[in-house]
This record gives sequence, structure tokens and C-alpha cells, in this order.
Amino acid sequence: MSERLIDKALVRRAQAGEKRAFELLVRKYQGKVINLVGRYITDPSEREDVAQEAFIKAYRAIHRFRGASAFYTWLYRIAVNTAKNALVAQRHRPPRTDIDPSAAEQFNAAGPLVHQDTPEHQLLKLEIKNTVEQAMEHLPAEQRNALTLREVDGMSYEQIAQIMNCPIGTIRSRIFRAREAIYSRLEPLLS
Amino acid sequence: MVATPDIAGAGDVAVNQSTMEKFSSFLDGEVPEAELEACIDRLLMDAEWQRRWDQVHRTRSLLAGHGTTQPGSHFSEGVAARLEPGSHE
Repeated sequence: MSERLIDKALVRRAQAGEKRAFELLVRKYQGKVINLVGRYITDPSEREDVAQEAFIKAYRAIHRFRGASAFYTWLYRIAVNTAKNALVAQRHRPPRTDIDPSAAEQFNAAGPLVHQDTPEHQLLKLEIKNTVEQAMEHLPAEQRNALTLREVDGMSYEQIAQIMNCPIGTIRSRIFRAREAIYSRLEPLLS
Repeated sequence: MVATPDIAGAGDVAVNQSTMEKFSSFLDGEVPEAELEACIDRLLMDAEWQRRWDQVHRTRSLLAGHGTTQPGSHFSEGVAARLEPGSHE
């Protein structure tokens, strides 16, 4: 089973009218979509507004999503089109280099830093980055390694168990504890 | 030690570690497919699981070195409000 199946199940619920299922997809992909829209729209408040609009369009079209592609690939196309339309509405020209929808899976949500970043925002970003790094440094080595293999390298629990030569249950515990430790440090910054 | 609700149990209740490990496994696509729907049920009903859902996806972005411009809860709340009947969208 993969994350794609989880998305598919949430989409199925949303198609059946469970709005909360769609809200969870929003919460999962909001960062990626906002950053994607940020390639077109540089004003931070407008960027969020356009990203919200993309989600609303996706919700209204959700019954047409048949699952031929991953949910995010589908959402990515909607977000790009919404951002382009917003640019046209602003009478701006779209960027000369277009975005390939097939790149959705590989899209790095970072995008360029936005010129309008405020000093406060920059400071928060730095704080978050430092907090994550510190939290990682303070983890016991086996937890840090397990989490890195999972989150950065995208390995399955089974693969990690083989690499670390221990039972899969131990890997689950290590990843769980590592996440707990990071959450507890990040929570004050993210809330 | 606190009570362990069954997988379909609802509510914002304290849960023990094994329950949260199950959530971790679910998020990572490591829960058996037969349990997927039960886990989704729980995710939709349980505030604690929803909080974790947000945290995991935010932390993943941060660990991957991107997505530092994560929005707060105002964003998803804004989408939900605009989806309400009677909204002028």
C-alpha cells in the first residue's frame, strides 16, 4: 500500500460528499500548492488566495477525477492553470518557461524565495530550519538514521529494517519516537 | 497507561504508543490494505490523528529542505469556508 492509495481513499470519500476528507487533502498539499503558485504569483497574500481558489476548483471537479494519475498530479495541473488565469486577470504576462505537468511528482515545493519575504518571515524560516537540524542532531543515532532513510530517502519500513538489520517493529518505534521528538520541538513554532 | 481505543473508536482521546505507531505506519503506506478504510475512518473522526496528519506533512516538507513557507490553519479553514453553501465563490 502506498500514500497514493491513501489519497485515493480520501478522494473517494470526498467524491461521496465527505468534505472533511477533502480538507485533509488540502492540509496535506497546501504547502506544495502555495509554493507552486508562488512561481507565478509573488505577492504572498494573493498567492494564498490563488492557491485556495485552486483547491476550490479541485473540489468542484473532484467527481471528474478518475484516478488515472496521482491526486497531486491532477491538483498540480489545476493549480498551474489557476495561477496562469490569475496572472492574466492581473494583466501580467505568464512566465516564458512553462511548467510541465508531468513534473508534478518531482516538483520541489521550495521554489524561488519570494522578494516580499518580510524580515519576520525570514527569521521564522531560519528558526524552523535550525530547530529541525537541532532536533535531528539530538536524536539517538538509530532514530536519526531510521527517520532519514524514511523521510529523505523514501524507503519502506521493510527496506529500512533490512538495512539496519533489525525487526520491522523496531523500525516503526524508532521512526515514531524520532517524529515525536521533532514535533515537540517544532510545535511552538508551527502553532 | 491510558486506554487504547479500537481502530474505529472516535474522539479526541489519549492514545497509547502502539496506536500512534499504527498511525505512523498508515501514513507511510505500511498498514495492510484491509485496514486502510478503518484507518481513514479514524483519521476523519479523531482530532489527534488529524493533528498528527498536519504535523507529519509539515515536518516532511521541512526535513526535505523545502516548504518552509507552510501556511497555518487559516489556509485550510479559508478553503473550507469558501466551500460552504452560500459562499460567494
